[in-house]
Amino acid sequence: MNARKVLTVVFFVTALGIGYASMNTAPVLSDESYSYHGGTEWHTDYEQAEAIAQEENKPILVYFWTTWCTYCEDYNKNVYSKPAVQDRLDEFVLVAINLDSDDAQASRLASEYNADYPPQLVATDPQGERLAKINGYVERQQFLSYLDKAERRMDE
Amino acid sequence: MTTPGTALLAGGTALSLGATVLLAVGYVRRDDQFDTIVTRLVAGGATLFLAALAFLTYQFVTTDYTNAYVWQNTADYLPLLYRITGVYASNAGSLLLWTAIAALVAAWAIWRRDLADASARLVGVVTMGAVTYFGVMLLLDSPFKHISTTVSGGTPTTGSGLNPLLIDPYMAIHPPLMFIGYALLTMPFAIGVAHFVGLVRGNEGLFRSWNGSVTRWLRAAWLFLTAALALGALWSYTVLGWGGIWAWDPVETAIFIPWLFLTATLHAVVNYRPGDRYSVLAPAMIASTFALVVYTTTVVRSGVFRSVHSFADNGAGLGMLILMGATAVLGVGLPLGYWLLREESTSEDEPWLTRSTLLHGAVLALGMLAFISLWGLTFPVLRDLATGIEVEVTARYYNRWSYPVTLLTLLLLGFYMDYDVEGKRRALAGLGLFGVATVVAAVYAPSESWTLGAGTERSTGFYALVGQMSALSVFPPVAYVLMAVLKRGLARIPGAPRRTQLKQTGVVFVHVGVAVLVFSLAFTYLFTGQASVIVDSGANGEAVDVPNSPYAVQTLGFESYSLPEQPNVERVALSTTELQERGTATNSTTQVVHGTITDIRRGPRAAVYQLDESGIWVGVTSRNGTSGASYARGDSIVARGAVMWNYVPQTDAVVVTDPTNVGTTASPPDSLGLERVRVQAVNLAVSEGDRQVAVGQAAQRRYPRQGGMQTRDVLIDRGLAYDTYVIAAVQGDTASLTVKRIPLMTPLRLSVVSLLVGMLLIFLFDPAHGVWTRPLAPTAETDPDPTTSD
Amino acid sequence: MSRSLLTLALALVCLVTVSGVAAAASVTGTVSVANGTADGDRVTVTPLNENFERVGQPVSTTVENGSYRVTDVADAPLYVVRLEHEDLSHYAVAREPTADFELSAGLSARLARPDGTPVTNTSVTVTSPTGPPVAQVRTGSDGRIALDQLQPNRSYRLHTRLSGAPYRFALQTGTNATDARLTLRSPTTDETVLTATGGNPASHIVQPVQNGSTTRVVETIRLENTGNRPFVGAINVGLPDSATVRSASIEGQQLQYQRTAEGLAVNASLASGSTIRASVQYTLDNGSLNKPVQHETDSLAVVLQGFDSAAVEHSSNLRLRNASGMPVPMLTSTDSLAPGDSISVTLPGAGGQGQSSGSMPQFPAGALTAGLLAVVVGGIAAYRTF
Repeated sequence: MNARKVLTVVFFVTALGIGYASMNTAPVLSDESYSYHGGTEWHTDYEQAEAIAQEENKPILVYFWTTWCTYCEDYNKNVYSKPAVQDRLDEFVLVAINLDSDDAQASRLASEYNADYPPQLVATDPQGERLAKINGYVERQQFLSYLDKAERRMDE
Repeated sequence: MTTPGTALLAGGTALSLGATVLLAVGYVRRDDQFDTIVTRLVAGGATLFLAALAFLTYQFVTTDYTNAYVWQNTADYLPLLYRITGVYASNAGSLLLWTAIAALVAAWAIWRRDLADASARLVGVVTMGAVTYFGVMLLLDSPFKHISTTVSGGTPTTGSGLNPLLIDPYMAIHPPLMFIGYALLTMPFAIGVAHFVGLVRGNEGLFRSWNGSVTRWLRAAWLFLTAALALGALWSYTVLGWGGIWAWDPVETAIFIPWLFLTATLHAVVNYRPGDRYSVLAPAMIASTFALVVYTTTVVRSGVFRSVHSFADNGAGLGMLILMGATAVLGVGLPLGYWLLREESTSEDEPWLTRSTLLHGAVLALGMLAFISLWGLTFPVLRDLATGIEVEVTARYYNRWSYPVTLLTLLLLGFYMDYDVEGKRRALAGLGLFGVATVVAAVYAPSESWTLGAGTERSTGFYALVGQMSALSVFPPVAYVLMAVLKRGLARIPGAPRRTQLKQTGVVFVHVGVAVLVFSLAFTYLFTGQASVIVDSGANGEAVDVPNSPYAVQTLGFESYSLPEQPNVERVALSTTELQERGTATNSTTQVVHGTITDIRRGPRAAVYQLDESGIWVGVTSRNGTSGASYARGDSIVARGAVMWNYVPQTDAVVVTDPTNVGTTASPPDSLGLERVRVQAVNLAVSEGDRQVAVGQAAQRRYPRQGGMQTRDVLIDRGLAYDTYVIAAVQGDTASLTVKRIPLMTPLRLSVVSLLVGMLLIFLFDPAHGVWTRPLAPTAETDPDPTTSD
Repeated sequence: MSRSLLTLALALVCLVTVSGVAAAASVTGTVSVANGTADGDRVTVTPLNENFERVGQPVSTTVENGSYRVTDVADAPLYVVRLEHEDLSHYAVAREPTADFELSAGLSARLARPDGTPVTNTSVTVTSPTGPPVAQVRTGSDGRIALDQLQPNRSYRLHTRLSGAPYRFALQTGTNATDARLTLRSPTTDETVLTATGGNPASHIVQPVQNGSTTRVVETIRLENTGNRPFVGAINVGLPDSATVRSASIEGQQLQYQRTAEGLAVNASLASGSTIRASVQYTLDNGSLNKPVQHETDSLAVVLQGFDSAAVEHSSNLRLRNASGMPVPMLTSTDSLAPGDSISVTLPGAGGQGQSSGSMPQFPAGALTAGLLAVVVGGIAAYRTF
């Protein structure tokens, strides 16, 4: 066993370690029915969310995102993860739509609400009527004011 | 419908296939009777592929919309440069580019080396096989499909336009450089595979005699890949508005992986000694580099992994997957099989600390970095397939695993450079000193913002550990490398033969470049600051302070305009004679026509206008009584609507439309889509303290015909210590500005130049394997003594 | 040697801890009933932790021969033992795993209005001092209630309502619990009987939370009815002018509220001597928290979690307490506050101008470059010298 072979063994053990550790600690983006953004839980099935919204008479917030969108990461980091925002998000039924998804539902929603790039958010009433739309990234307080606007229009 | 382009492709593929078959037969039979004809076939194939590429480029330049691919990827308003770049804007075109370059490389290699021996024929079989495969894929997904396969009603008058993200000078050169790099890697792959085939067949393998050739191919490929990578990064810096050059976007990562692996391979090749060290590893790595290229290309093109770059909608997926499987078997399976059959000879009395061991360490360290990136790209898919759970791979994964490995790599590099001139004892002392300094620096953070995890979410475990490290820890390894590399240069360069001097200068440049690159990258990310301010026309001429920053902005004016500036209605719309020529094929299709009104019939719910005294009439229906504008005899109008042939007696065709789709030629209706780009810009002067740092325009471009996609023109001042970077979101007379200060961008750019210059020197002047020196020193292909030469 | 000893000791410690966690205790005790027997009565033991939270399943048994033994109860610092005898429930809170019951004392009282007319046919709930109800009885035609077989020398509370007003009385068996005359005075609407008192760390707590440019404030007031008659009416809470009320609640239950000139009002009823917790949530458009206090207040605190306490400005009747031992900096009232007093706090980082929306970290590019050069030049020189 020479030095090179020892190094090679070390290499493989380390690589296995990194591979195993990283795979198991990676943040879960979505499972069967939810996707996760900045510590908030979003439905992935729009119909299901719509049913919940109609039952509870809550507005729906549809979030159009992709895995590679850096502004979406900004939303996770600066907006969704904040408790004050989460309190307000509780007032909505949340749906996250991955724009890269091949799902027919995703493309239908994207074209219905004219969401052609990430990130975009559309607040609707339980029937899907649009209340407010956020194009791109906005700062936290502006984000909250959009939620206010949606709720005001929902009450009207 | 067969087009001239398809014919060229078919011809090229057929010739390449013929060459592959004849080469294979010649190799198996050890027969040289086909050699002359093979050389001609190969040259012919390359010529035909190049001709196809040239023809496609010509179609783009002349905006020949009879080609569906051209129609999909360009538009008249684009300047010449971006009409050319449309060639590789999508899958089929970029594959053609790759194929043409690969065919050229294969032809050049065969021409240079002749087909003197069996091994050369085997290499030829593999390269020409790859070219043939690409050719077949091109035929299946051709960039020369006739427009009639895509749209009906005749050739469109305007193109769909180019992906807005690609309208950038960096993007104009990035893909060709990348594909040249990839194509150059076909040769080492072929040599590696042929080597193992030779070994399995009981020959010695051809690596020994092809070592020099392989090294040159690898270095050339490295040069192009480095340049492509750098251009891609700079493109994302200006176009995507990340404000940084690297975001671990899957496609960036996909080029980065072969680049890292290629770098490792170059170190492995240096360590190669025939019949002894690396006789398996070096050829195996050479062959696998191409496998990685194919894998990562699959990543980009197949739609398995999506990202910002997925210009090419799914498509080429399955073919690439097959190719990937084949290359994996040839590049990885063969060497492993050989490894099982024959153990590498080891000399037990060899000391542990040798240059060769250190080089091996470098190979492994670079390999580890490549593995980290590769795994990050791969495991979400694996996990999704296995469990249905989608996991996220963020920059945190890449950054925090790569960072410690990068530091170790730098320390190793410094030690190697030191050890090479100072000997074991003194070098170990230096390593100890800088190693301790690194650990101390990792613990000492002058402020919170120096820790690697600053500003990111809280983590646990290993991520938290690295997150608490201070960025200062990059300082000792970088300083160590710079010192050791320069010191070694000072010891090696003076007094050496001229070519050795040039090569060693190259080595210094490359490694200094790497050190500066790592140093700048680390701090660029941690110390980028940003602040925002909203300005409006009310503040015209007055400087507005940007809160929480040393900057002030002065608004010099708002602009908004459309491209093309003077749209040519006559070019977009058909004349009555053109419509007559197209005839009933246009029945029930939507067309745009223009002409002068020569007769009018008005009814209660519609008005019908005759154009140019022809059989073509325009029927404007009015819903619930709103008739819109009415037109008089002699007016030039343009209308968009459904063409109905033989619909109304006494007319040839009626273009049925409504008031929103008709207008005069002077003010055409919006629905024509004449406006391609809507630019909203703000002219700014940015000052820092009393010093004006940048004057110029920040703008956003909206592409209505591309789903309203937006790009941003940023205003950048490139400073020595930091860049000032302004992004604007303009809405009428109000602009929301984000000012970023990004440190060390200029050192970063210089480090890339240093890498390229250094590698170019090595590539050209290496006394053993340089391009210049090869004819002069044909026998010096291997170093006799590993510890003294180099 | 010493190492194996250490290992052994560690293993023992582990075992002890494990068995401690899993251990089950038994609770025992005797039950004696004057003029009767407790045999067959049901005893239930519930284990609690120091915060009176349940830490295990309740376990029941029956009394036999005047004693009981409950086994398999989770080991806990506290036990609540409940004895059901006839229609009454009796409680003991025990720190030891033993609790004896003696049911021998009697309680009798007459409920009457101030003019002497008895309060007839009205439900009265008798509770133990720790809270849970012991019995529910109705007054007779003379306004009397009577219970025997209660525990001696214990405080019992009587709760009742009359015309919507709550009443509460405390009686101690063996002292004043026989033939007690309880007068149900008519309720008052005068808020001055309410005093903010007895809360920890303060009776009136104001907690602002920064949220973008708006500030969300939660106020919690612990009010005690210090008068001798019940309070039924509106409780007023003073609010800053720019406040937008989000919710108001009493004892954690959200209620309708009315805006008033000074703030808001919620309806509540409060027996003499009892306490109530009122809380209000509202948002402010800026960081200026300037509001009147409506009740006599022994202590008021403004919690400054998440704020730079050094940058907070406040009125002189508040002072900053930021002692090292305190987990959270807060402003506390220097003295008790009277109705009509105002407090004023200006929070940093809120409102229009001072708002932070970015940062430009300092990066010492020059120093680092110089450092690199110095190491390179110095290093090469050092190698030449040594």
